[in-house]
This record gives sequence, C-alpha cells and structure tokens, in this order.
Amino acid sequence: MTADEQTGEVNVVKRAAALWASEDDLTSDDSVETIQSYRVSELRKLTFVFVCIAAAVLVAGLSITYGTMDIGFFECYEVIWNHITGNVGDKLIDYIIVDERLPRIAAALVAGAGLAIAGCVMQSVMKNPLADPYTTGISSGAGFGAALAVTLGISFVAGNYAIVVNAFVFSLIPMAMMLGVGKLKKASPTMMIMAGMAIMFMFNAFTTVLKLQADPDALAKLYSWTVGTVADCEWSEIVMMFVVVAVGVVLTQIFSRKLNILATGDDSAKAMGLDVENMRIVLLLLISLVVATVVSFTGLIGFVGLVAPHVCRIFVGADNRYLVLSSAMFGAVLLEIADFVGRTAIAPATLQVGVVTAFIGGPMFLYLIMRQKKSTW
Amino acid sequence: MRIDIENMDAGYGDKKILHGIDLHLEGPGLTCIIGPNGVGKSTMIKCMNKLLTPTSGTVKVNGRDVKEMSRKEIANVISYVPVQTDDVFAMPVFDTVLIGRANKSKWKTSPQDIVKVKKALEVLGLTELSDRPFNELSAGQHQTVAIARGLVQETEILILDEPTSNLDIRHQIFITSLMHEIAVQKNVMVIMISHNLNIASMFADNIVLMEKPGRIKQIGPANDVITAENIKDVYNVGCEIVIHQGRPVMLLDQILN
Repeated sequence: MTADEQTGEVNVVKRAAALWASEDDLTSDDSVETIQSYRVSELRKLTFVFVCIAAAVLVAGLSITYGTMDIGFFECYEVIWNHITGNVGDKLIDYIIVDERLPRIAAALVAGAGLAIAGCVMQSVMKNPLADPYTTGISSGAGFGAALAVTLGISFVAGNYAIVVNAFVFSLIPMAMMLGVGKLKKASPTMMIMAGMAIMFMFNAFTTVLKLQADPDALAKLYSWTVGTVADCEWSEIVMMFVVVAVGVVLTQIFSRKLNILATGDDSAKAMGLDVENMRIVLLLLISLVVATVVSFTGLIGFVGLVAPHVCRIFVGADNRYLVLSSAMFGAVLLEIADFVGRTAIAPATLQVGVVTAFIGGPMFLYLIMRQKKSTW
Repeated sequence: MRIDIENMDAGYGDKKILHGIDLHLEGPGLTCIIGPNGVGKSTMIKCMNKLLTPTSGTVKVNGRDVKEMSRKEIANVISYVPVQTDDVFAMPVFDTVLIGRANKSKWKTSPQDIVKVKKALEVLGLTELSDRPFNELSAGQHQTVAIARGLVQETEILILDEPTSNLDIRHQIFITSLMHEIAVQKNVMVIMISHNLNIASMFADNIVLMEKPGRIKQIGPANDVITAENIKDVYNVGCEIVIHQGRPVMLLDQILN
C-alpha cells in the first residue's frame, strides 16, 4: 500500500468512525426512506399473517357446507344460527352440522395450529430444519402410551379416556428426557435433537414389540389411532385442546423476539442478555404440553408440524415475530383442508387426515422449496 | 469503564486453560490480545462477560463481580462479537443486525433502531448487502455483519473474538483501524483478539501478549510488547523488528525449533 493509499484509507476510517459517533438524524431523507422501506417490509409480513388468518376462517366456513348429505350453503349457517338461538328445526340436519361437521372442523383448526407452532418453536430452538414432534420423540412416546392401553390394557385411567391419558403421560417422557439432556453442561441443540431421535427409536421399538403380541382387533384399533384423525373429537375435548393451544400460541408470540436472539447462537444470545438454557427449557416445556395435548386427542398426525413453519418462512422469512402466528394459522388451514379432502374426496368413504396431510403437503412443499429464490435455511 | 481480572484460572471441564490471569483495563482505547493458538485468548474474553465461569479468581466489570450481574446487566455494558454466528434460519442482513438492538428496543422496532442499523451498515460498508440473506454471504461478510450487530448494541465495552480472521488485508486494516477510531471518537473500550501482529501493532493502544500454558506474558504499548525476543519466546518464530511510522513492524524470518 502506498503512502497516499494509506492516507486515503485512514480518511475513510475516520469518516466512518465520525459517522458512527454522530447523532442519529431521524429526519434526514435517507433515514425517512429507510424507515418507510422497513415499515413496508413489516406490512408485507403482517399481510401474510392476516391472509393465513383469513384463509383459516374461509376454509372452515366453506367446509361446513360440504359433506355426504347435501345441505345448502346458506342453510348450513341458518342451522348454526338456529342452534345458537335455541330454535332448532330439523334435528337430523342440526345434528349433522353441529355435532358431526363443526367439531371436526374446529378440531382440525386447533390441532393444526398446535402442531404447526410446535414445529416452528422446535425448529427455531434446536436450530434444525428437521425438528418436529416426530424427530423429538414426543409422538413416539404418545404412540407407546396408546399401545400399552390398547394391547395390554395398562392405563392410568379406565374407560374411554385410557388411550388419551396414556398418550399424554407417555408423550411427556421424551420431553422430560430431552430437557434432562438440555440441562447437562455443554448440551447443544444438536445434542438435544439427537437425544430426541434416540428416544424416538426406543419408544418405536417398544411399540413394535407390543404390536407383535397384539390380537387383530387391538392391532386395528391401535393402527387407526396412529394414523391420526380429528373425526372423533368431542366438544369438551376441543375446548381443552383450544385452551392449551391458545396459551401456547400467545406465550410463544410473546417470546418470539427471544427466539430470534436464540437463533444467533448460544454465546451470541447470552451476550445479548438472554438466559439461553432457561429460555430453551421454558419454550420446549410449553410446546411439549401443546403437542402432548393435541396428539393425545387426535392420534399421530404427521407433516403439519414439519411443513407449516417452512412454508411460512418462504413468505415471511425467519423472523419469529411474524413466523409464529403465521405458522399457527397456516397449520390450521393445512389440517382443515386435509380433513375436508379426506371426508369428501372418496365419499361416502373417508381418508384419515394424517394420510391426506402427506398427500397434499408433500407435493406442495416440494414445489415451494424448488421455486424459492432466496435461501431461507 | 474498566475490567479487572484477578488471579483467574479457567478452563473447560477438567482441562485448565488459563493460569493465574491478572489483567486490568481502564478507559477507552483499543486493546489487542495476541498469542499462539490454544493459549486461551477466547477463553479469557469469554470470562469477561460470563459466557464462561472461571474456576477461581474474580472478574469485575466497572467494579462489580460479573458473577453477581445478570445477563441483561452485562449486555447493557458489554457487547460481544463471536468468532462465528449461527445461520440455520437466516434473515436478511438488516434484520440480522437489528437483533443486536435487543437490549435497547421493545417488541416493535422503533425508528431509532432502524436508523441505528442503517448507520452501522453504512459505517461497515454493508449497505448494499442490506436485503441479502445472511447465509448467502461470504465468511468475511458474515464477520462484518456480526461486528455491525455488536456495534448497534451500543455498549461502553466491545469485545471481538478474531473479527478479522476471514478478512482480506484491506478489510483487516479497515476493521482494526475503525475499532481504534470508534474507541477514540465514541469513548468505547474495544478488546479484540488478533493474529495479525503488524496490524495490531499499527492501531492498538495496548497489546496483551499471551503465552503457553495460558498465561499473560506482557501487557503494554506495541513498542514494548512486539519485540523479536517476545516473538521468539511465544511463537517460536524468528523475526526482525523495524520501526515504521513509530510502530514496530515484524519482518518474519523462519520457524525455530
């Protein structure tokens, strides 16, 4: 470097440092333009969130009007209104709309939102695009709990809720083990997800052993639970799921900025003031409760938790302030569409929602990852 | 602003890296920490902001033991630029730098935050990369973005772990001299690890020379620390020292046995 060049470089540096040391001017043309451009990008992301919310409402509204029995579009809403006002006309139609169609639509929306938010948080916390309720072993734990109840009759409660309660309790075991690993010194997100996968294989092996010993009836019942469905949910169960999922979504949204900080790496996040270990545990505990609740009522519905956050990342990026809510709403839409297709595509027979999510979600996801221009992960 | 480390030992698990470290830094200025690989430079700076807890001894920031300070309290005084930043789910460069405002801003991004980030990008020559996804950048650009994120945290102490390790020679000079200028003009204590001894010598107000096994050999101005004897003792490399613009410059010779 010549003396002139060196002097030039020093001047560049002095100017840069002086700029940094200068007072912030919020009113300069440059600043106003940058602020406006940032607000536009915020608005674009918020628009996607609202589009997802609107789509959830629209899809739910439309799917009420379709089914094996031909009931007119406006008649469906009239029936709902009459039911609310206590003015029930045709009891059969009232039963079909209020007790058959509405619960499964509500269950699909709530379960879809719960699974999607779980995937979103797990992927962000563990910094792994493949993290979801399956790869963290939570679904396998639930599956083993259900298998115990169905094949050996071992359950925490008797009666109709034997599978549900078993699934819930056993889905918490992988979570507890994973959090235990997280508490170890130097535990990294990669170590946690590897622990989750080890737990998944262990529970799957136990379940396979139980299946091998099971009689055909028990096997059929277990199989139907493991494929996953929202058709059997009752209103009391949906309310329970809704409360847990709503608390999960609200708290995760509140923590969304901290999720962004966490994504920069453990040392970096700590240096920005975040209590990384505790934050990770709080988020995983919260999300595990959401997944355990959903899975115990619906059975194992795959794909939504994995795919919904990735699709939303394509539209809103990795900023969790927008990703959390849009994932929840997109998951709700995805599961609702899957259930709608499942009950109408080959009517009067129905397809399990878990099968349809993979059929619809798979190609859609492949298409989106192939056409995206910017790398998101 | 001051950092006082007294009789500190530190390491990872049973492996002891640092032995009896005593270091007292006060006031604005650029301090470069130099020394061979594995000598504990990163370990030492991680103890300064409680990323690592020493096995014995004390670390005080502005007179307070860091053990008694919350992460948030430390983040308000010290910003830290790690040697690497995770980029699994990458955001655009602008948003990546914006995360550095976490200790200053609320949930909604304020105009102040936006302007601060814009200014940091301009200072570091990153304006054109503003919309690019962080994971599409080169290793050197990654490091520069991480420095921008450290700057917008706006603390009185800035610690950087090898911020120039992936940069070309021009950018190494730019970043090191910029850190010196910011220290002077913004009254900031900047502590950075460097492997380029000549550039550190050109711009550092103080050099901390570390030697194996995890000890400080000498602290002082470049003219006192960068000597042929010190370089031979610490790096086992022969060299000749010439004075250029009042600072020692190393002309490397060969590796000694």
